[in-house]
Amino acid sequence: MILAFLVSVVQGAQPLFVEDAQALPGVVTTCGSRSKDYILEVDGGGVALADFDRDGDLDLFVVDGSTLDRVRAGEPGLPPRLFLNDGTGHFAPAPEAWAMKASRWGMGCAVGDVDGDGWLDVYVTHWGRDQLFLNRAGQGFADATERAGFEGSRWGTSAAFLDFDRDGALDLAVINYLAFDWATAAPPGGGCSWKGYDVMCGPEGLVPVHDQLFRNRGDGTFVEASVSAAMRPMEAGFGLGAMTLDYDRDGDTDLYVANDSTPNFLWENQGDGTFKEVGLLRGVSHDMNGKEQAGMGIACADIDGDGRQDLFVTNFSGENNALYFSRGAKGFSERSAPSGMAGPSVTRLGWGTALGDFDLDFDVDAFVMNGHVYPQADRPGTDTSYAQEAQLYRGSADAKFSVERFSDAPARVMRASTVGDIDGDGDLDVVAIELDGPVRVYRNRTLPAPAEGAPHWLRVALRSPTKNRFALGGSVTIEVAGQRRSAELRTSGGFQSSVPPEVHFGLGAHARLERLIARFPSGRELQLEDVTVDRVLVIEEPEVK
Amino acid sequence: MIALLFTLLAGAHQAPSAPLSRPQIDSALTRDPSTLPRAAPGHWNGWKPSDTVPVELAAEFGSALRAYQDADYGAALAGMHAVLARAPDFPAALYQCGATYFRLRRYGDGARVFERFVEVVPEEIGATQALGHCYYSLGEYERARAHYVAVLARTESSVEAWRGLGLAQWKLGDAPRALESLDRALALRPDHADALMWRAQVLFELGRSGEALLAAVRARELTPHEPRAWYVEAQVLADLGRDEDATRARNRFLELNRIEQEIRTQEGLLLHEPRALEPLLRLVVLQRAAGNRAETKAVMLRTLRTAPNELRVHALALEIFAGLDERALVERTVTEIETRFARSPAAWRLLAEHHLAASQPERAAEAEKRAGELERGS
Repeated sequence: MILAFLVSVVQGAQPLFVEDAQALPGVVTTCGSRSKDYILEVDGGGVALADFDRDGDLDLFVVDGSTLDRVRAGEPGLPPRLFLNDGTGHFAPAPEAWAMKASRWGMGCAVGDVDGDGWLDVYVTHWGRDQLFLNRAGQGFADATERAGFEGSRWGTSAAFLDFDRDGALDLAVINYLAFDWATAAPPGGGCSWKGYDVMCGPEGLVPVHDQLFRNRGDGTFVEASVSAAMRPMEAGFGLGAMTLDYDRDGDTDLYVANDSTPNFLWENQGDGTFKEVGLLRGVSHDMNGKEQAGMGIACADIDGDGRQDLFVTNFSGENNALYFSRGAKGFSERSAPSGMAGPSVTRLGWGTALGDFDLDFDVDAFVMNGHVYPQADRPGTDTSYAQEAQLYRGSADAKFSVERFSDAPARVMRASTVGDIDGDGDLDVVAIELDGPVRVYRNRTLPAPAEGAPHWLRVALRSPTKNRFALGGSVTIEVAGQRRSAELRTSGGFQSSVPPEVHFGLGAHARLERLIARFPSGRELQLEDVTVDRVLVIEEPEVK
Repeated sequence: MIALLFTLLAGAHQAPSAPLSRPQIDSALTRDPSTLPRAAPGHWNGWKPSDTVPVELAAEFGSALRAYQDADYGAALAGMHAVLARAPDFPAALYQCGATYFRLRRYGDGARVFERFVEVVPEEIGATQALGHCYYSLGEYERARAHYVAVLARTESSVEAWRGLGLAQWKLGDAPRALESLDRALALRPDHADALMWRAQVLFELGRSGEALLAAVRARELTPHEPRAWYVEAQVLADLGRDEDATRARNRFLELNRIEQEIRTQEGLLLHEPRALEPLLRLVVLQRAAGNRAETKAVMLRTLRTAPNELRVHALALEIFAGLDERALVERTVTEIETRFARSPAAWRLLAEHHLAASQPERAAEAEKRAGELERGS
């Protein structure tokens, strides 16, 4: 009752998130010109939260882009940067040892422990050559791109680490967008129009590029396995978003890919080192009318508490964001409208997103960072705008959502985002990229709260004795007051971004868990009874004697 | 979906008005419709859709209407703006303006203009289901629902309002009421394929897949060219465990969806360049490939109106109309070719081939003879 009262006060008074301009002062990213004459200029960079120096708090990794002038001059783009957390959610540039060289034009990033040394590494996608940075035991990054065997130059967007062949080493999926050739790209006024206005061209009319799967040989080097693992569809999509999940709960990791203007893919892991594309079969490739949408970002969580992972995809303006509820073996059902998430998204163009219990009331909420790709969206008659407000979708026990303001911030052109408890207070905070603007930090106001009636929470991390130290692909299930909540360990999240390798539960008034079941990627389970909460719980998988 | 409401003066369709310039059209397209002039409150009291358009507006109004019917929505909008500049809030022009915005997929502007129409002539709300469609397209489902209810309170027999209400209720999570509304639409028009498809969708989501299949199959029988019909049916069949049938339906969906994607692209181009010939020709071919007889015929006729002096357009029309077994249209096209291209040997050769294929050797020989004469210059 008290909790409900508190929540209603917060709902009525002020948005759940507040922008903290002091948390990361003066950090901006660049993505081409403001006129956005080419499709290359509209995605913005990616962002990741992870504890790179293992001091117990989440550090911030930011991918930066470039400018057309730099490209024309043959200069590299702007390098990715790491910012270290002082423990309170304030970030400062990491020392020189963490500095990274730039490639051509940075896009997204994925975090994972590639070499199994217990330190988190980063893969950065580019329009150009991707990069792999190995974490030197918390002392800085080393560029391992060449040694790891990553070659070639494409337009990578999102990437995701997963152990698809269950050999204990993290493999990598890289999502590619399209073939963009500077020499042949249609110039401004090149005959492409949207709502009657001249706009930059693409993706229609351009050539989509196949996504790639890289198998980790176990020694930190990779070999492309897209064809041998059958992750090669008849037709490529314009790939933008990636999400790892075990949708069929068979113990291996599947992969969902959001494609722009082309059907989304669901790569079902066959358990023998190969995948099968089942997006259409499982009802997650199109909207409920069989129309392909322009997928951007992806969020994933068990919204209705049935133990199965549901999917949320952000889409283009004029379309609604899609919410696919898992129906078990029968696949998914697109229920964004009856859940209250469709209508408010129709006039927005969504990018970064996450599902999580942001108000700690035991129900899953969502947020979406919005912003159009066309500056021309501000012209008359478009039914949308270039800058758009971010949205918070507050969930309820019956898996319905009501939309509200995310923060007091004005409408902006937002892009990628990541989520994590940056100040260690127990609630989930958000960091997001404003296109050609600052990297913005949003603090969650749920906590701290007065001790009496403050909602409870739990963060859980798993540790595996294999090279997949952070147990990506594992899961945690909690039981409290006859209800269950489940979450999977992953670092893929949102759009071109990465989240910490841990799970987070909001617990409302529940101060103890009756049971917690940790399931490791090996398939082994560990059960804890009567678990205390309001803490970070790290569970080690016991080594088999 | 959006009907014309009003009566023109006899002959107004033929009355000429000054052609609109590109700047006039561009100005109309970039104008915020809330800046259109307003009449004094009560000025249009007592106006009825059956009233004839005032004589001083008839030519301009008729031209704008013709532009609308030709899918030249920029010209239609500019024309209606011009009418509204001379006769602020003239209800027929307001309504037509709203319909044009809807066709241009400018739902916010459409809603503003339809709202003004309702304000000016509130007793005509029963004809404004399109305002509900605008709200629905903007994702404002509660406002759409409320408006459909208001429309139905005045016009209970509006199939589109019942269908729209059903969709809005479904989007608001009220599946039982959505089903009731869709059933009301289907009671009025049992062959409403879209209402049937939605009925199938709602029943499927309610776990009533057996009933859903009946609706889905009926919808697909009515519109076998619609990828969505196959998509819904495939979903339901898979849910019923009929995997082979589901696979077949899914494959047909994929085939048709590929065509549909290109149709949408061409339609998007034509929305803003309505006289662009290549997209029109491509659209004819695509609609034929999809098996959509009605649209194939409609787009072919539109293409003929757009480029009446292009022999290749008439050649395609002959092929299309013959394939559709539209004998009257075939004959009309033959006559058009004979008249418009009387001095063209290529045209007569085309006719000769056509007559031969139609098992009319005498006409073929006559056309061939005419072609030869023209070539010899006699």
